[in-house]
Order: sequence, then C-alpha cells, then structure tokens
Amino acid sequence: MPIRAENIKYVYSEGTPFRTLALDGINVRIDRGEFVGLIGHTGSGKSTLIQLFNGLEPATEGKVEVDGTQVGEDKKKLKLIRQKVGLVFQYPEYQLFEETVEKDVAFGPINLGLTREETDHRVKEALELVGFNYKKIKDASPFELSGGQKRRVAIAGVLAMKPDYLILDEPTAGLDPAGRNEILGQVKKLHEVSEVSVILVSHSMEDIAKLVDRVIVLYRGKVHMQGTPKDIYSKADELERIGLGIPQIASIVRDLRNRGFNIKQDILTVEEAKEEILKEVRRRNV
Amino acid sequence: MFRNLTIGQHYPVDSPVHSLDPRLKIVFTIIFIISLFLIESFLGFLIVAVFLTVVITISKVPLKFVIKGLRPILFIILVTFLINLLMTPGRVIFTLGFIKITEEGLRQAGFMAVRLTLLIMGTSLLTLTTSPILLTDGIEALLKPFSRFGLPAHELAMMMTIALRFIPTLMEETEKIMKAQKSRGADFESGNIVSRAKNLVPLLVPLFISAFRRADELAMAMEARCYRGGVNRTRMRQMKITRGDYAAAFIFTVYIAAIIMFRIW
Amino acid sequence: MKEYIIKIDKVKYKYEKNTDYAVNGVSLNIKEGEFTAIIGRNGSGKSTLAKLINSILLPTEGKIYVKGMDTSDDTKLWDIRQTAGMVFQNPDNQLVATIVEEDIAFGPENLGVEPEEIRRRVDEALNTVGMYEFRKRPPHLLSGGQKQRIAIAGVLALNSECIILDEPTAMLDPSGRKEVMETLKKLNAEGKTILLITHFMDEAVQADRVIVMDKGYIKLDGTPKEVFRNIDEIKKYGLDVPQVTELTQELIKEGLDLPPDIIEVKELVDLLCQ
Repeated sequence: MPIRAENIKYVYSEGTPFRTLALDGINVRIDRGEFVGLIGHTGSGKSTLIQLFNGLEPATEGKVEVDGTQVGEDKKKLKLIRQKVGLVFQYPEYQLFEETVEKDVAFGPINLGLTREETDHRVKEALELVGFNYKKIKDASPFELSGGQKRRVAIAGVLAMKPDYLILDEPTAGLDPAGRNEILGQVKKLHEVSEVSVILVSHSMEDIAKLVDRVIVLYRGKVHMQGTPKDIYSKADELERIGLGIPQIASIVRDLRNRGFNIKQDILTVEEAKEEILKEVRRRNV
Repeated sequence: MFRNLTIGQHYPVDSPVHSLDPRLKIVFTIIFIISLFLIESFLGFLIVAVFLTVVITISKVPLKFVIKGLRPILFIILVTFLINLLMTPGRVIFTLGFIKITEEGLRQAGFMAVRLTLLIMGTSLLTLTTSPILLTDGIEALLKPFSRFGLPAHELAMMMTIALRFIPTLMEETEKIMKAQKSRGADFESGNIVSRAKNLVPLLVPLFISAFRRADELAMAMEARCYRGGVNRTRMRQMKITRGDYAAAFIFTVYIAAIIMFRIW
Repeated sequence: MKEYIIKIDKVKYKYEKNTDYAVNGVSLNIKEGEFTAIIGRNGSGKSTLAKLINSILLPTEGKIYVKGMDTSDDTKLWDIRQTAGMVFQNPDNQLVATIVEEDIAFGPENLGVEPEEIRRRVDEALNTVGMYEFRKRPPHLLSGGQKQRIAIAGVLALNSECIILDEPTAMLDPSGRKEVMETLKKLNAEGKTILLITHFMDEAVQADRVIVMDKGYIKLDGTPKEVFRNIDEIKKYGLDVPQVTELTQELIKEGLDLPPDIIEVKELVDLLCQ
C-alpha cells in the first residue's frame, strides 16, 4: 500500500495579493519500503508537499491517500495518518521540550495512547537506532547535548512512533561533514533493517544520490523530473538550470564528456569515475 | 499565513496625511482625544465627525477600512453605552420593572458611544497612516526630553523596534513548532481548558527557548555592530518639519480653536 | 609587503564551565586583503577564534591585535569592532530593524556618523551587495541568501577593512550560498580582508588560504592546494576534501601522471584532455 497524491494543487493566502500557487498538479506515489529523494530549491513546493502527506495542511484540490485512507477526509483518522507518516522537520532539535531525553522521545508514543511498557520499549529502540547508548543518554537533559546529538534525539522522537513512512526534511542542514555522514549513515541503516519507506528532502543531489532508489525533482510546484539517481545525474545541466546543487563528480563527468571523453554519463561515485576514466585513458594510449 | 500579517495595520499609500511628521501626528492625536472630552453637545460632535471625515478622505485610506477597526471594540462601546444609560440619575423618562432610564442617562450614553467611536477612528488613523518604524521614531523623539528625569526613551523605542522586527519571525516559528508537535501526535484543539493549557507546554517550552537563543544572538550581533545604547547615537533618517507640517498645524489649530469657542459659548 | 591586519599570538581560550581549552595555543597572522577560510568540525574552536578577534570574547592567555590594537584594551573596543566587522550564522538573529536600509544604517548610527554620510554609506553598501531595489522591504520577507547579503552590507556600512563570517552559509540553500560567495569574492577583489569560517569545502577551495582547526589547534595552514592534497589527514579531522582531489589521487595510485594537488574540476579536465 502506498502514499498516493493525485492532481494536487495547493494555494497559499487565497484571496489576498500574496496568493501563490505552491503546488500545481502533482501526481506522485511512494511505495512501501522505497527510499525516495525529494529535491527542489527553496520555494519549489517540497516542504508543502510533505505536509500534505501527513495531513498538516489540506490540499486545495486533489487528494492524498495513505494506505488507502484519504487524508483529511475524516479528522479522527488524522492521528493514525500522522503515526503512519512520520515527519521530521528541518532543524528538529528546536522542538525538544522535556526535561530528559527519555521523556521527550516518549512524547509521541504517549500521544498514541500506548502502554507504559510498549512506550519504554519503543523509546529504547528508537534511541539505539540513532546511535545512542540508551542507559547513558536517557536521563540527560536534551538541552545540554551538542547540536548533532539534539538532532538525533529529535529524530528518535519520530522513530518511536514507528512510522511506515519516514519523511526527513533536510536532516543534515547546518551540520559539519562528520555530522552529515553520521545522520545519513543511520538513515541508511534504518532503511535496511526495517521495512520503513524513507523520503529524504534536500536542495541538493549531493547528500542523497548515493542513498536513494528514486529521485523526484520539484520545480515551481510541479514534478519536473523523476527517475533513478543515475537518470537524474546525467541531466546535470538541467539540475543546475533550475537552481539545484550537483555533486562535483557530476560536473567532472559532464565536462569530460563535453571534451570528447568516451565515458558513461551516469556516474555517482569517485570509485566509478576512476574506473571509467582509467578505461578511457588506457584505450587512448594504446 | 502568518507571514502576511500586518502589524499595527499600516495602510501604505502616499497622501499628505501619511507624509506628515510622525511627532506632529502623535501630538495631534493626543490633543484630538482631549478635545473629544471637552465636547458636551451633539453639534460639537458633528463638527468633530466632519473634521475627521475630511482628514480620512485626504489620507486616501478607505473609510470602511477605518470603520473595520471599530469591530473589535464594538462590545466595549455597547457595554459603556448600557452602563451610562442605566446608571445615570436624573429625570426618569422610561421605566420597565426595576430599569429606569433617565434623560441625562440617555444623553450621557449617547455622548460616550459617539466619543469612543470617534476616539478609536482617530487613533487608528494614526497607525494606518504611519509606518511602525516612523511611529517608533516619533515616540522616541517626543519622549526624549523626559530622559533627563530617568525615562529610558531610546531603550523603549529600541525595544519596540526589535519587537516589531521579531513578531513575524516568532509567529512563523510558532506555526512550525506546532506542526512538528502535531506530527508527534500532539493535540492543540480538543479537550477542556485545563488539558488544553497543559497541551501547550510542548509548544511554549521550545518557543521560549528559541526566543532566548535569538535574543542572545541578537545582543551579540548588535554589540558586534558597535551598539552601546542611545548615547552619541545618530539617526540616518532625520525628522524635519516641512511646509506641509506647518499647514497641518495651522488647520489643526483652527479646529481646536473652534472646539474651544464652541465649548465657551 | 602588505601589513598584517590580524595578529594572533599564542592565544588560549577556555569557556567557564569547560575543562578543555576551546582554543589551545593558536598563533596566526592574517595579511591585509587576504581571503582566508577556516575549516574544522563542530567544536574545533573556529567560531571561538572568530569571537576572540572581534573582542566578543577575551583570550584566557595570549594576545590578539587587530590593526595593531590589542583586543583586551577596553578603550579600543569599538575601533576593533569597526575594523573587523562580523557576520553570524543565523540570518534572522542579526538583523535589527524592520526595514532593510534601516538595518544597514544601524552600525554607523551607533558610531554617531552624520546623517548624510550614513545615507551615502547605506546606498553604497546596498549597491555593493546588489540589494538596492530591496532597500524598503522588511527583512523577514527576504530569502536566506538575501538576508545574509544585508548582514554583509551592515558591516560594509561600518567601513570595516576586514569581514569575519562565522558559517554564514550554513543555513542557506545552494543558490543562497552562491550569492554569498560571489559577494565575498567581489569584496575581496575590492581589497577587503575576508575571514570565512565554513563547513563547506567547495567554499574553502575558493579562498587564498585555508586553515584547518581541530580540538583548538591549527593543524594545517596553506593555499587550498597545499591543504587539500592531504586527504587522509583532513578526513581524520572529520572533514571532506573536494571530490576532484580524491579522484585525482585515486588516478595517481593507478599510475596516471597527475599532480596530487588538483582542487578544481577544470584543472583535472584540462590535464586529462591534453
């Protein structure tokens, strides 16, 4: 059962001079177990779209279905939908509020009305999933942790709700390279060990290229491109044109090809690029 | 959306009223309010109403916009009207059970309602025609003479500016935190008053923490830009009294003279 | 020979509640007109160093001189902050006024500059960062990149010779980052000394000089080429190197004859296509 969005339109500030069409005829489908990247620059509509997925905003037109349930149709089902579709906002550390890490992570499960035992179990599991030693961290105040640690606690707070779909909006924003790699590594592992679908939202191909199965590119409220990272990568020029960052490898490959180098277009990693370039160089030297 | 919210309901158009010196406008508004309490006759209020209508017309702010500002205080006007109507002793003209309405009561209530209506319309004209930043400058300049007696005029104005600057930011932040907590199953809409208040904790704690963090960073940024209070500080925008201001002052003086004459007569 | 605008002499700094030194014996001289990038993971001491230069913090040990002025000399405080202006990470938390041009005027107003001169400086700063047509806007309706350009303009209006930026692009999207970098390069070309603290290697590559900090120490210091060729060492400090440098060194290991210090795509492409 998937998340399905059909003919979605979303209008901000209807009836004022600020009226904006944020989403304009979106059709997307996210399947169970998929790892999807949603990219687009600021104002492309990506933040709005993910809020439609868990019913925080209602679509102006069209419908969103989560596992067959139409979002927003029945207010009582919103809680269920928000449990199924876990949303981690940008800079999620700013939503922490409890005295201890354990209590904060338990906020979601308690809201779901779970038993004490189940809650404790989930809190422990979630904190371990984001790389903490449960015993050591549980009684710490979330406000005394480092920036990267706070963020992981906040992510654990959503994981503890056991969502079937996990949406992360720019989870690496503002972190240093080590912090970025740590968070992305954990998300990857999470996707491998559980059946959760992950939707990673980003402005750039850089972070997500190596992780996701499929990329959806939003531009001006529309789905501009869709495909495997390799498909999307090979359109480096187009990505740059619509204001998105591309990894350096993509521009090396593009420039070499433009200069007559006979190498594959859809290269994602340094390793692949090395192999391809070596092949071509050796071919030329023969 | 919160971000389009206009604070102080400024109506930005070019008009002779908009371009008046803010200090002058504030002083006029205060005198205008006082004048309302000098008037004791319907003819007097008529003069004020005509005067106000003329000023609103010159200001190019649609009349209905000014009247819309009355809506939130309609209830207060009504209550004031009723209290005056029922509580003023005098010659009884109407009785129903224990309710006695006197001629004086009716007069008093009518005056009070008209007075309040004109008062609100007059003051909202000030905020409608003056941007918050100019208003702040005006208040600061007018309070400055009192700083000799320990009134922190500059600090008050600075606080107002910062509040105005950060209201939209904090509104946006509130919306964001609310959504984040809703995503974790928080409920801000149902339940009785006690549980609703309790449910606000996950919103208020992060909001306060963030406000403190912002305040801290802002203070550092201000110091890095050499801020050290109001002493020896200059302003880029100088308030200068222009010919238009003199003309306005003249017209306003005529108005006040008319009101006083009317009163003495 | 250009003068040193910033001299840091064996500086140590410790935050009150901590036992470790955030900055642990740093000596560093910055030349006038130089574009220096400081990189290092969170907690490496780079932001602390920036605050020390701007006299927001005072060294526990050692001395810092900004244009010959000792940062621990109270009487020079405002001259130092004027000479070395500072831009912070969060664009929202450093803009004070409700109108863009008022915000840029804030610095010179604090210095007691004459109104006509403030006007002139504000207009000039707005033009330099390319935000003149936005001068009447409220800051909260601007994009992140635009807000940071306003913050930079605010420093320019102080007539600062040196601009210190503490992760100015951390909260921006790729186009905002580009806007800020282009503005900085332009200012540097006009003679401003730039000290950029960043997490993004592609930004550091564009500087004249890169300094790598870790645990309060300076670990590497040199041109981007000299620094980034040390791939293993840089990764040890929790940082990345440009993919092009990594690729080049991989190719060298496979026997290709390439210089190990390639940091730009164009260099590698040119060499391979010879």
